[in-house]
Amino acid sequence: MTRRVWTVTSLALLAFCTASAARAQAPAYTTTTATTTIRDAGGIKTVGEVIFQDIVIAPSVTIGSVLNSSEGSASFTVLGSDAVSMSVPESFEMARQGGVETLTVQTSAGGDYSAIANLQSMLSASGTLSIDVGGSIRVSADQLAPGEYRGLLVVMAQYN
Amino acid sequence: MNRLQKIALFAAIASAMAAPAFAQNSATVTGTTGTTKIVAPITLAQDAPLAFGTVVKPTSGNSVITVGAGVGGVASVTSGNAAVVGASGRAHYNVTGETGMGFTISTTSLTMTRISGTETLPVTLVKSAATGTIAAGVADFGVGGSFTVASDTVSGDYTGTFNVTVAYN
Repeated sequence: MTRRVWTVTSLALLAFCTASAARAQAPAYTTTTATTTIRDAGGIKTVGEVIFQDIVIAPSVTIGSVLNSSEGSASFTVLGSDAVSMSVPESFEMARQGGVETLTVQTSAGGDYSAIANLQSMLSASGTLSIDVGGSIRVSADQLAPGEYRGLLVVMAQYN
Repeated sequence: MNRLQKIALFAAIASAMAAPAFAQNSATVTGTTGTTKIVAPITLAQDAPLAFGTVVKPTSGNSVITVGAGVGGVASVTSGNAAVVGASGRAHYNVTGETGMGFTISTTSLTMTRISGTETLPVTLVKSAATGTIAAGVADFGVGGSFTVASDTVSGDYTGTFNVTVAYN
């Protein structure tokens, strides 16, 4: 009699344990990875502006003026800690001060620099990159009003 | 067997015969129903991790970077002047199980640690829903999160893991 009671009790316990195990398998879980990369704040600093020499235009003469000298080119310093892309416009407008006449400046370094794979290697150990942007203007006496011209050259740098 | 033993035996027999008389006083209910419901096991699979992308830390102060848990959730700067670039996105999960069954979603906490370093970024996780219902055998949900990055946070790659659990209600 005692053996039978123990047998029944054992079977009941076994059934209970089996049922408990089945319940434990009901939830499902998975492990997820989260990632991020922290980079130093980048920036771009204008070191110098594009400065064209004074241009004297003789009547009915077309003048091409190209500036390549370091004195006249715009100079920028790019700050960062990783690969960066730069964008320099192919051209920009200058307007006569006190007037409406404009000049188009063709930049010497215009283009999308994100395609230059080795730009990253151009970054110095200190995380800076210097780039000069010159330009050229082509004027004719019958198109150009004398005066001082100024324009805005926008150069953009960003992390890839 | 002496007389006393005979009396005792008679009393025992009489008692045993009286027992069936008590059983006749019980009541019986018939037709009690036993039920169960067999359902398909619930499964969970992740098809996209939680990616905050590349964060350019702020020049000063703090910024909060958030990846939304909803559809199309990607990293954005919700405060401060940090910037986010590169690919990012919420974690996404697919659930399979019995159609019509509801389930709960739970997560463990998440802290990302700089690879090759000890610096940490605690992340507050957010789920697209606390519960779900399996429709046509499947369901899905997302998990996003947010963390604070400071101008003096150490640059580098950070990673961490967390567990997501689904269970039938």
